[in-house]
Amino acid sequence: MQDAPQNAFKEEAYELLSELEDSLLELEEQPDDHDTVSKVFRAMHTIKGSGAMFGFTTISEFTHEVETVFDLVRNGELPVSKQLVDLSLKARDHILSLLDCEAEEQEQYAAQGAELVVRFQALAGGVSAPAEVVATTIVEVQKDAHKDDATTYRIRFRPARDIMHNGTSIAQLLDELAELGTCRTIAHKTNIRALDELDPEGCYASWDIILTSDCGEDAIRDVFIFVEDDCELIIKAIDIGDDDDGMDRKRLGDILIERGEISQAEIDEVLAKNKRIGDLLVEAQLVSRDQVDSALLEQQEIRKLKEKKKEKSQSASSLRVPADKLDDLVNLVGEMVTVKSRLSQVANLSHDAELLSIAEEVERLTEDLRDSTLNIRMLPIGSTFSKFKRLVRDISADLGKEVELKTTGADTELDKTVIEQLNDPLIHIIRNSMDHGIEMPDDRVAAGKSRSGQVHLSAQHSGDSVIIKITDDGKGMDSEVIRQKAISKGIIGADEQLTHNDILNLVFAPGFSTAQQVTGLSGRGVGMDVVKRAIESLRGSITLESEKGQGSVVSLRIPLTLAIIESLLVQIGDGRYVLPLSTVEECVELTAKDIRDAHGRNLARVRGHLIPYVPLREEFAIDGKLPTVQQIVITQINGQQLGFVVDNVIGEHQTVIKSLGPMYRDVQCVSGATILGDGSVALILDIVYLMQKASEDGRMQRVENE
Amino acid sequence: MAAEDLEQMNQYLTFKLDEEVFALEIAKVREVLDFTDVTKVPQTPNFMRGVINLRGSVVPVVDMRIKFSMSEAEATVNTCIIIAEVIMDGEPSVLGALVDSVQEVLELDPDQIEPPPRIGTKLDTEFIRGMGKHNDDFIIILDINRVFSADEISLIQQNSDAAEA
Amino acid sequence: MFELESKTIQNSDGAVRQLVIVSGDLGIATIGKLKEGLLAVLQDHDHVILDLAAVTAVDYSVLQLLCSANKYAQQHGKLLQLKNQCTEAFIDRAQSLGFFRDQACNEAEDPIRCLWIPENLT
Repeated sequence: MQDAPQNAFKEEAYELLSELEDSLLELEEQPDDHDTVSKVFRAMHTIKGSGAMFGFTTISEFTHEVETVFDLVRNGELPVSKQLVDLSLKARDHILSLLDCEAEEQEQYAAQGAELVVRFQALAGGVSAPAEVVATTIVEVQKDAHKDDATTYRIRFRPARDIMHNGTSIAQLLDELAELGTCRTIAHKTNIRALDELDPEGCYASWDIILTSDCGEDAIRDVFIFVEDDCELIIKAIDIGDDDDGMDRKRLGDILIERGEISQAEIDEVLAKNKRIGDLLVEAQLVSRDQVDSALLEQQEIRKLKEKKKEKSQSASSLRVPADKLDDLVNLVGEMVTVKSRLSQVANLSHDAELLSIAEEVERLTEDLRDSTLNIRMLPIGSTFSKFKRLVRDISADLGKEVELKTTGADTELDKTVIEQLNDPLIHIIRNSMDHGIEMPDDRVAAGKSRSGQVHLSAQHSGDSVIIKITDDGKGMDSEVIRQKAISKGIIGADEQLTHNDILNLVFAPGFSTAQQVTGLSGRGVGMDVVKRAIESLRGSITLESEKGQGSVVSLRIPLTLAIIESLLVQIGDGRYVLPLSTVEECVELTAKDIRDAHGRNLARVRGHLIPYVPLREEFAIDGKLPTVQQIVITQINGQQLGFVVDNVIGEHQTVIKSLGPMYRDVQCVSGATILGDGSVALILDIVYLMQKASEDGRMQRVENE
Repeated sequence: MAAEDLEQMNQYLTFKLDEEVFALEIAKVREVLDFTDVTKVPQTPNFMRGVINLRGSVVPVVDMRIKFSMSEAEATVNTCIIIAEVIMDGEPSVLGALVDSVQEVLELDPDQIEPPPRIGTKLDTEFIRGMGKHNDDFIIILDINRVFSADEISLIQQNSDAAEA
Repeated sequence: MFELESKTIQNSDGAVRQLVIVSGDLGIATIGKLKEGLLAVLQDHDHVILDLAAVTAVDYSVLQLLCSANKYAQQHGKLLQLKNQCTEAFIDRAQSLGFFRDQACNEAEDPIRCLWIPENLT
């Protein structure tokens, strides 16, 4: 059993490794991006450092080797090559395996580690050959002026009049200073004499330099080391003030006072005139324009620094919470929502005004509580997306295809559990796109396409769902081929007439596979039917569009959260059922006359359209007397409409989804249960399944024949 | 604590189905509820009476009479739901057993328990852990995990589905 | 190294200006000569235009000299204008030495006469 700090290290390392993977892949695309190189270096550096601190010596030592190489890259001494990225990705995987295994098991990875180290060293060793260096594009070393420990200094430099006599170049000095960080310079020119009085070789100006650097005061002093005796030099770290003081920055006047250039009394006098203080002070000839400009510069610099600091503190104020604590919280909120319904029900029956108002208040609070709690569990889907970059890279290498993965909407948020459960289906869909969709590079060129295929992964919000699309520009699906296959597999009859869409959707039928040959990628015994089931278990839906030669689009519609849904509560006999509100279109009455007029066919006429319906009483074998007027709840999924006949529609309901447990795992018409305000249990109807079943029973076809 | 555990191991809750007396290890029993309305889940076999709300959790209820192929009976004032912990699919799970009445808590030493008989009972001997002897009566001690193993249940369900079709 | 050429030009409206063209590397080594030359022109003429297009390098002493010449001109009721100072050499140096500013200093009679406001560059 490992103790807490070690687990904390592991968690941090996992995160860093996943960032590292992203950065490396980014680097492959943009080898010159210095920021990314720095990111890689920093990730390695942190893993090395914390690893050593928490006793992960093997990891720390190994990472050191990788870090060394990236130090060279960072200094522009080693180019970013595909070889380096490959090796680094392997190193990343190696670190991951070391992290995952127990200390005793690390032995088994020793050889692998040693081999990688040798290869890294070889790579680093190659650097000493100057030819290599020349061949590389030297990465311009940009100073990251706002490093974590950067400080802003105010440097006042007042050279002696004769400073230039011994050959000192002021320009050179200031340039050197500027190399230490970001630097704002202002020359005080007030003392420059008029031309007739000027010693052209004398120096009359003085300077204020606002330097933000992480080099420390000594480095700054070092710049002036040779002129120390020929100048007045004041270096002062600027106190940027407290973050919480409510003032967004130091005021200009305060800066001038602090510098001793003016007194508070003088400022107050000028302030009374109510103009911009800088202008006023210059007008009043209390300070020079240069002095004001210099103070303004400092003000700007502080403002920038503060914003930076604020950003940092914002990111630092996030908390790491174990997921199961959150799950507990969601469960509690679920209970709370249930109790709230009960309270509201009791309050409504009591007609007690005070109780009613309390109930309303509780209702409002509970809703807020529910929303914020569910919101905590929301994560950007990007974390999953970035994993796929690696996947695509590896698979394209295996297949000998060139595939580019584009992602959009990585910041779209989804419930954590949903994201986790989406992982496998998405992997499968992407594999499929690459395996069956994207053609070999030569075939693509022959077809007039670019050599490298594109797989586009996108996510976007749509109401209470997220739509995820996997688009490829491959060869698309041949509906005739699918048809023939389906016929040969006995999925459809040889003379069955199907629309283009219906044919495409056959790939979701169990046991269907379009692969000409079983490859290592798709031939894992998992078909699209499994993907479909996985998506449906998330209460989502999947559709497929494809044009032969143009590529395919797989669209997933996934509910934002699994825990609580808005739903419609209905009654059949003594039982109550809920339907997810997102699927419900409208409710219409079904009278005995309507049923007679339909001549035994379960079709309702709604504004001229015939909509098939399922009498749930019949479907669920519920006995009892039918009400004279029943209700049809019309639902719609993927453009298919189906009505469900119920006794009575009770109303909208916030449904906390409860699992029915393993005993009911084979029940398909019901996807879960919920507890109502009166403590009784209502069942959640699985609309997707019921619709599919109705379609298999031939209910849906009847409409088309009408 | 350990002593208590040991003691619990020898304690059994007895209940009646028809005229027969059954027993469950007390350690498996969480509580006994009066009969309440059970929500039937559609398209499930008869012995799966449905689900109830147990303080916010949805708990399945099994009708033991039907499960053991006895005749169905109307609920009486004595009808109870025994809430028990079972291992289903390798995971601990809670479920309710609908029984005619709960009798008492008995202490049975291991030497008072005999292995299940091969014949002479309507019950599948697989569900029986042993036969306890108490005041000259035989008590059927159930192996609750076997009775409610998910495989067993889904098997029955398939059969009933087949029968329906 | 550096050359200073001074010539009189006359506009169509008859206004007379003295155009001073400086070229080459300007720096501390030649600053004395530049000062002499510039002072002489400013003493003799009321409107001096200093063309810096051919200047290839400047250092602090040059910028100081320009600033100083401008002060002199204003003190003596003369007009000094810089022309074509938008060379890389000039701008970079004025930038790194912190000569530029957003508003004219209070010594300037008119903001347009400040040499160090970027908008006034030609």
